[in-house]
Amino acid sequence: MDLELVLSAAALIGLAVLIPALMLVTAIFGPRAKGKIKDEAYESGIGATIGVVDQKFSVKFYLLAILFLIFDIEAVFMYPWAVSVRELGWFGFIEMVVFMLFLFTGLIYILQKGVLNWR
Amino acid sequence: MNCDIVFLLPLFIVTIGAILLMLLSAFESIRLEVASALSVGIFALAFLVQLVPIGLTDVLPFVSIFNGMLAVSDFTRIASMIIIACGLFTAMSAISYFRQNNFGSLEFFSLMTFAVSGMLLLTMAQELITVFIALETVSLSIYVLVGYNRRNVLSSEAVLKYLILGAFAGGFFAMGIALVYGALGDTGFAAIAASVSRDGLLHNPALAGGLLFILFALFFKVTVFPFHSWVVDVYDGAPIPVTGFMATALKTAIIAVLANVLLLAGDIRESWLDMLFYLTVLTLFAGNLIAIGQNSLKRMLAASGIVHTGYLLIALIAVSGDQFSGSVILYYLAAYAASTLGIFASLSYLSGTDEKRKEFNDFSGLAKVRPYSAAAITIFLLSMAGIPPTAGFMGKLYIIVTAYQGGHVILAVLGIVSSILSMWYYLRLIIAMYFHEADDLFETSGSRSAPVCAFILAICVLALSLYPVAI
Amino acid sequence: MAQNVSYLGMIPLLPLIGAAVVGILHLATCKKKRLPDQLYAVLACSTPILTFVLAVKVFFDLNGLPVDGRALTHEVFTWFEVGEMNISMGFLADPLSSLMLLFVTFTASLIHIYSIGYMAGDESFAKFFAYLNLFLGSMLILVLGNGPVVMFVGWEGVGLCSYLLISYYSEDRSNVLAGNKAFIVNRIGDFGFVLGMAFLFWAIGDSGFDYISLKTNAHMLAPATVTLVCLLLFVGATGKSAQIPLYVWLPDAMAGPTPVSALIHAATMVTAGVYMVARFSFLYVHVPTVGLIVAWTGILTALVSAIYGMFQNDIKKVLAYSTVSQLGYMFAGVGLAAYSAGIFHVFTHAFFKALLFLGAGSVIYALHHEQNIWKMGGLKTKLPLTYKTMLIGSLALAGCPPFSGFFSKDEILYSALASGHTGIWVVGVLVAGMTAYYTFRMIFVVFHGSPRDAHAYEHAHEPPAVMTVPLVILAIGALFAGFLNLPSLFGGSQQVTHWLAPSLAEHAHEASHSIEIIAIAASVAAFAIGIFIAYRKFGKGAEEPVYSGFSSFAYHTFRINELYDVLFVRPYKAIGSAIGNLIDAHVTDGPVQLIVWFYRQFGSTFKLLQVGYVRVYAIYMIIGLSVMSYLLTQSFK
Repeated sequence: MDLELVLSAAALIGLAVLIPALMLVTAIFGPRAKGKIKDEAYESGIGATIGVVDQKFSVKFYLLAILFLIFDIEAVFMYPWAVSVRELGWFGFIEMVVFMLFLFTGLIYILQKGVLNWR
Repeated sequence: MNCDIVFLLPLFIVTIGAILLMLLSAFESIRLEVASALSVGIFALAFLVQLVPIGLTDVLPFVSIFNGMLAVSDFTRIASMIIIACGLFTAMSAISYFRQNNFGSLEFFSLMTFAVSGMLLLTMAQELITVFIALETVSLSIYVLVGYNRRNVLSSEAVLKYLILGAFAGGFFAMGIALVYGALGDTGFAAIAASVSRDGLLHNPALAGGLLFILFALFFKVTVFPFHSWVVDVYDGAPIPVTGFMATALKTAIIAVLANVLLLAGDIRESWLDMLFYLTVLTLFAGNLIAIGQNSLKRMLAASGIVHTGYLLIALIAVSGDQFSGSVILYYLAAYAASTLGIFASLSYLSGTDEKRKEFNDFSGLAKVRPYSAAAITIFLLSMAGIPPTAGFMGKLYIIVTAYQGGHVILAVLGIVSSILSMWYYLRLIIAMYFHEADDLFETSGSRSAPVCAFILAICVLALSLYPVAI
Repeated sequence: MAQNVSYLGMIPLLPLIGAAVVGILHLATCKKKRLPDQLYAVLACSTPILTFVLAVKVFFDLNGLPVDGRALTHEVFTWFEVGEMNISMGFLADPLSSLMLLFVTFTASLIHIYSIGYMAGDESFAKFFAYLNLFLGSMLILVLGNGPVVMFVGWEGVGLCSYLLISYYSEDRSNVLAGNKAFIVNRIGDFGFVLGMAFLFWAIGDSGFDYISLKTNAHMLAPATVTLVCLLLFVGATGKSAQIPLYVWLPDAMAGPTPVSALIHAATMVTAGVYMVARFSFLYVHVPTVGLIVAWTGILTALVSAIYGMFQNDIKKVLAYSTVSQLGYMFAGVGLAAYSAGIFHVFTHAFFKALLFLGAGSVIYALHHEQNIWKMGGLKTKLPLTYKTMLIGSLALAGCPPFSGFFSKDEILYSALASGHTGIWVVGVLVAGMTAYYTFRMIFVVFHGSPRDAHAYEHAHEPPAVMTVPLVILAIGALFAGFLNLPSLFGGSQQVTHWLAPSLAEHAHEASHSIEIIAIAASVAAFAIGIFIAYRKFGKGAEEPVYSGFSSFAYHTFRINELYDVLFVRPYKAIGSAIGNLIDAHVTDGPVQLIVWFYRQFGSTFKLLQVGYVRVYAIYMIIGLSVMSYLLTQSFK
């Protein structure tokens, strides 16, 4: 068996066992002080009462985020194509144009529907 | 090369049609009726192109470009025809529904056409990632369609449930692909088949596990027993035309994929025969039991869809993999699609504003007020219950005969028993329509296209039974 | 051997298309603006005429073939194929069916035309013609079918149309009941037909179930099977052709419009039983015992219904019983293996009975739906054409030489005598006398003497030409149809018999001319005596008799209906209600209800699992997947 494999497995097992074990040991044996102030959550000195945590965002944020993602991925697709553009030749070029056209129709739809108008 | 174009032409027509409809809906320049007619035209064109026969063996179109990720044969061709027809009739009957309920926008038709294009891709896919992309195309479109009526709380609830559980199943599917790729270094069906027939399925745990996850996701989509629970709520919440579309087109597409996967190499099915057997039995009876308890028509139809999945599973277990033509499965799917679409088309115009008629009792005495609608619904119900001379009867007959010939006598018997059980809830509506007094005038508004649709489908149900397939 | 011609399929198809077109047009427009009746009339009358043209073509095509190969076939499609059973929707025209075809389409054409006048102004004029066309289509399927199964399709089709048309005036409950009665009684007969067919199939059905194959394979049948099959088929025939014991529906069937009575319940449908026996002559000829049963049933039916006929008041009832009686003759003929004589009587009967019914229709039309002969009288002057044509029909029915009925009836009686069945012959001659009596009783009461209802008499007038022209044409047929089968005694050559010979398995009865002369003399004497008595009693006008004793008994048709009611209907109803109220409710329903309850509980319990929470559904899925994975790991061992 590969020594490397054994060692790495041992390290993983060690991590998986040791860290929880240490946490457990400190939790049991460590000194503790209790009190009203002590038990409060640490909020960097700001009281926990400012604002609401589960604040609602406008759905437009999500829409924009998703749109950004889509066009971002589009750009990502172009990298591998750009790398091998010579090998793929005209066929690759046409395929990329078709792909861009499809996305473009989507863009037209978005624009026309006014998704990008922040009101 | 020229032929290859013809093989994929329906897919191209539908996809380009979908994009066209999307652009048209962006400019909101046409009326709903026009959009409906346009999508009907697109489907009709695709259907006509699809009439060109291919042959029983797989043909790989554009093999050099697509690298064998798509394959067409008569099986995929007829499955596609069923799907396209489902789209056509849904587009027709939806317009009545929208007019009656005063909502609906042009995007509906675009989304539905996108869904159909995804389904067409599904039937042809010969590679797991293609299946995944197609599946997601379909699912995303259908998520939106399910929640199309945004004012309706039930509809929103349904889409949330479907989305969460669907994403869950989709995650497993992706996981399955990863496992298969890890095991084989390839995601093509051909590679899987080669590996399985060389070493057997159980030789490779990662492959077996991956395929199990994939099966799980597909079973979820066609509502096999433990993964069926979403269907009743979602079908109930979705607008009626969407429910009909999901129940027929989606099921056809997924069953086609299942057939492609399960029958890849004989050993896949053989290794899981026990599991499939139990799933089938449980699916049949769970569906029946859920359906018996329902008072709402849509929920009953949803539950009965589970039972029909059970029948299709029987067929999947029993058809011979050696010379797979799939005619039994496809015939059943066609018969089921015609009757289900028919009943949903009838409900599209009969259910009234805001789907106010949804329970069995709401249709009491329909036969006295609207005898033709009642007769059409009766034909559809009889077909679903499997009573001659309807297509549904022939479909069930073929499946049971196939099961018997394949040596699965228990499944054949259970199929018959389940068919008898199903009379309960199908005949209930017939009894309500014919033997109870009417206290409703069943006034309808909206266009005549849904009644026309129901009429055509009723004829289809009867006509299909006259043109049986040769087993 | 048999020639395939595709136009054969058109013959039944045309009237069916006509029925569909007329029916759909009627359905589509009946609630809105009515289309003109003339349109329907033209549509509906064109199909029988076209089929008649085709029938003539069939006849000439057959005639052009050599005697042994006179058969035209056409297989439209394979109807069903289950195991070894392969039934095709195919048609066969041979001499027998072509003869039937000719007169069926001929009389049907005339009666369709007649109906234009008779039904004019009726509210659902188009419905009537749709039914008539449907009937004609079914009848042609029956006649042309290439095997028992196709024949059965037509058999049931004509039964259905008969039912629909008897109950045509459905506002009156008694008409509906008459329709029901006809349908139910026919069903009893059909049961025999189906059983007979099943036995036949069981025995030799494997190697083809059409007439031609059956005929070649008939020798493989065991004698007992032949007897059974023939008896069962005859049960079917008694239902359709109104013979003892199932004749009771035909008199009630007169509730339908008169053209219907003429077409369905006199000329065509009721002769289907005779046609069927002749069709299966290749079986019947092997079992003379069954033939004898058929013959005796026929002749006794003839006798009994002739007795009834002598005491009826309703003009249509008189004709109905005479139809039953004539059908009895036909069965006597085919029972004695004189198939061509029986079929020839069918042929001539179609002319004169259709004529008589249509004539009666004219009378009824003229008197505004009065059917009681004792309210008529003296109509000779008012309805001269109707009188003349009906007189010809009556002479033919009564068997007066040289009218058509004389030759055909005489042939049956002659073959009874020649084959040595003197009993049947004696009864037959007796019935011939009675026939003459009641026919002329009707003629004298209706047309002679003085009018009994002066008001109705005043308003009576000859119906329009569309009704009288068919009468005249039929009268010509009734006059001359007999000459087609002139026996050699009169210098004829029996053309019909020779024409039919290839289709039938007939024994020719060789007998001397002297026997033939005796038979003819007896018939003519019976006719003369019958007409003489009728003239004495009714010739110079008579009042409505009061029936008492035997005549009352006969007027009430020997109380057969009441007897059937007590013997069959009431016990049957009693058993039905007993089963319905006691056994069904308490014995059968118990377990069923239990299962129902069980499933409902089970279903409701199962419904609880559909809690509606996504998380629970996800848990189900995970459990399912876990179990599946577990099963998968198990299979790795």
